[in-house]
Amino acid sequence: MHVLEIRHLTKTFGDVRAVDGLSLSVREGEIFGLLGPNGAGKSTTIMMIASLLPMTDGEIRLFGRNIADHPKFARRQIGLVPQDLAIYEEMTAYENVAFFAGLYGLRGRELRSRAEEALAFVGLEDKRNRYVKTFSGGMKRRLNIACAIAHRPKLIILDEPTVGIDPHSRRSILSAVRRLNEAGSTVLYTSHYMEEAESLCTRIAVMDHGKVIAEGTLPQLTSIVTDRREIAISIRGADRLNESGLLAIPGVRSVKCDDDRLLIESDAEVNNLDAVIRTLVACGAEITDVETRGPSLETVFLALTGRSLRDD
Amino acid sequence: MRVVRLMRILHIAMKELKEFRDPAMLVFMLATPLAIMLILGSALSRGFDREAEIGEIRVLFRLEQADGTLGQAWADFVREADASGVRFEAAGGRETGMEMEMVRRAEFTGMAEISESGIVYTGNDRAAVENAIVQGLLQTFADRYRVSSVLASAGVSAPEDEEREYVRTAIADGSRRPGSMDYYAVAMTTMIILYGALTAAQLMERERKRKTDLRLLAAPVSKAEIFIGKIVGSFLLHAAFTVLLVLLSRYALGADWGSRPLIVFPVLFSQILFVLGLGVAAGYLFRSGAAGVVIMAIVQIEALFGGAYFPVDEMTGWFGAIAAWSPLGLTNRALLEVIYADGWPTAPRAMAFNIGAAALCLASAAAFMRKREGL
Repeated sequence: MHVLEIRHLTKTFGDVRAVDGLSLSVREGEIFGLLGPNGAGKSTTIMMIASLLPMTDGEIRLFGRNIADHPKFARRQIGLVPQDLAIYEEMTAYENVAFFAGLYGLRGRELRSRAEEALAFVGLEDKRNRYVKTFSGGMKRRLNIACAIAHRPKLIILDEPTVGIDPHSRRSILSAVRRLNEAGSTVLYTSHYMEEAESLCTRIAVMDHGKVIAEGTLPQLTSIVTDRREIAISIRGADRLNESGLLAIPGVRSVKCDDDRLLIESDAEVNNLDAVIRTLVACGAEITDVETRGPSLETVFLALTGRSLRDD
Repeated sequence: MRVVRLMRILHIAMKELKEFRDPAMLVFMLATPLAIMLILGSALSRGFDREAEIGEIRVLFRLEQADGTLGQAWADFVREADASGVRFEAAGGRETGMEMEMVRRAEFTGMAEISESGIVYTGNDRAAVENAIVQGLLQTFADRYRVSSVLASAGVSAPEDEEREYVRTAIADGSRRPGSMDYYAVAMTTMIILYGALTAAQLMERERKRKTDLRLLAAPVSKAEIFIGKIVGSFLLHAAFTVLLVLLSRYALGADWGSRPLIVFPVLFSQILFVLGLGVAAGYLFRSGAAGVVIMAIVQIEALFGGAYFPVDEMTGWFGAIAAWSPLGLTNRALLEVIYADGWPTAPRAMAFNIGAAALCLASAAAFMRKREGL
C-alpha cells in the first residue's frame, strides 16, 4: 500500500521552478530517502507534502486522499521534523512536546503519557523539566524530533535532521529513526549526507534541479554506475601526500583526502591498486587499512549530474 | 466542533503565558514603572499641591471719596478683607511715586485706586499668587457695589441681614483632585500598557524567527485559531501584569485608584486590546525591524501628548489641540474622571474608541495574515 503518492508536482517561485514535475511514491513501512544537494528542491517538496506551501501544479495523495481536498486529515497523519529547530527555548522539554501534541487534540492523561513516551524515545526523559535554552545542540535536535512524534503520526517527515550536530547525537538520531520505523511509522527522510541515506533508507530518490533523476534501492542505484569502484585507504602522514602522483596513475578519476582517510575513485576494469599503494609508500605515508568497494551514492550522483552532492 | 476549536485556542493562549515566566523579567517590568511613578510622583509633587501657604497680604489704597455710599461700602469691605488676612492700608499723604516704590520693594503687594468710575490695581510682579487673591477680592467688591448701586437707583432697599446678600461668591470644591503620585500611577500604568505594542508587534515574528510557525501550521489548526489564541494569551498576560501593577502602586505607593474598580479595569483592559491590535497590525504592515521603530515613535509621541510625563488637560494652542486627540490622553482622562469625578462620561467613549480601534487593527492584521503563505 502506498502511504504517499506524488504525481507531476510542480512549484514555481516567479521564473524559478523549484520543483519540476516530480513524481514518486512511498510505501507503508519503509524509510524513503530523498537525497540531493542543497537547492535540489527537497525542502520545497516536503513543505508541499505538509500543506505548508501551495503547489503550482500536480497532486499529492496521502493514504489515497488528495491533500488539497483533505488538508486537516493530511496534517493529522504527518509528523514534521523541520530542518531548522522549531522549539520554544523559554519552555521546558516536556512543555514543548505537550504543547505540540495538544495541537493534535490530545488532552489530559493521554497527552501526558504520550509526551513522556516521546521524550523517552529520544532519550530526554531525565531532562523533561529542564528549560530548552540550557540544552546542547544535539539535545535540541532530539527534542525537535520528540515534538513531531508524540501524536503518533503514520508518516514521519524528517528534513535534514542531522545538520550541524556532533557524531554522537547523529548516531542517536539515526537510531531513533530506525526505531520509529520498527514501531510502525513510515519515514520520509531527506539528507545531503549520502552515508546516512545508504545506511538508513530502504529506498532512495535522488533529486536534482527539482526533479527525481534516479529512484530505487541502494543496489539498484549503484548498479547504474557499473564502470567505477572506490578505493578507501586509511593512512598516517597525509600531509606528505602526493595527490598529483595519484591522479597520474592509469584509471584514477579523483582523489579526496579527509583527515586520515583517502578516497580514490577509479575505473572498475583497471587494476591499479598496487600502483596506488606504491605511490603512497613512496611519499612516506603509512597505510593502516585498504578497502575496495563498488560505487557509492556520491559516485552515482556524480555520474548522473557531473556534480558532487555537497557542491553549493 | 466549536468546543474543540475553543480548546485549541485556549491551548495556544496558555502557551503564550508559559513562555513568559522569567522572574527576573517580571520584576524588571514591574519595578521600572513603579520606580518612575515614585520618582516623578515625588519630584513633581509641588506641581500638584492643592494648598499653598501665603502670609499676610498688605495692599495700599487710595479712595477718591471717603464719605458717601462708596466710602461706606469700601470701609465694610476692608473690614471683611482684614479678617481673611488681606490688609488694605490707606496711602494717606504719601506721594504717588513713593507708593509705587514701596510696592516695587515688596513692602506692599500692590496699590489700589478706587473711584466711582472703577478700580485700578497695580501689583508687584513677583507676587503672582497674592495679586490673584487681591484681584479676586477687588472684583468681588466691584460687582457687589455695582449691583447695590443699580438696586438703589431702582428704589430697591438693601437687604437687612447679611445672610441675604445679592452677590455671593462660590468656589468649586477642589478636594477630589489627584496628587502627583496618584496622577503618575495612572499615567505610568497606561504608558507601560502602550509599550506593550512593541511586544505585540513581535507576536507572529517571534514564531517565524524560531521556525515554530512551520510546526503550528503543519498541525491540524487553522491560521485563525493560531491568531486568536496568541492574541488571547497576550491579552491575559498583559491584563494580569496590569492588575499587579495597579495593586502594587495602590498598596506600595499609596496611589489612589478610586472606588470603582469595575470601571477602572475595563478601561485599562480595553486599552490593552487596542495596544495589541496596534502592535500586531504594525508587525504585519512593516518589516520586522521597521515595526519596532514605528511603534517606538508612536509610543513616544503618545506619551508626550497623552499626559504620561505631565498633565496636558490645561494645555492650549497646537499642543492642546493634539493632546485632545490623543488615544492615550483619552484613556487617561477617562480613568482620572472615574477615580476623581462623580460621574464618568468619558469612560464609555474611551472604551468604545479602544475596542473599535483594536477591532480595526486586528481585522487588518488578519487580512494581511490570510494573504501570506505562513503566519
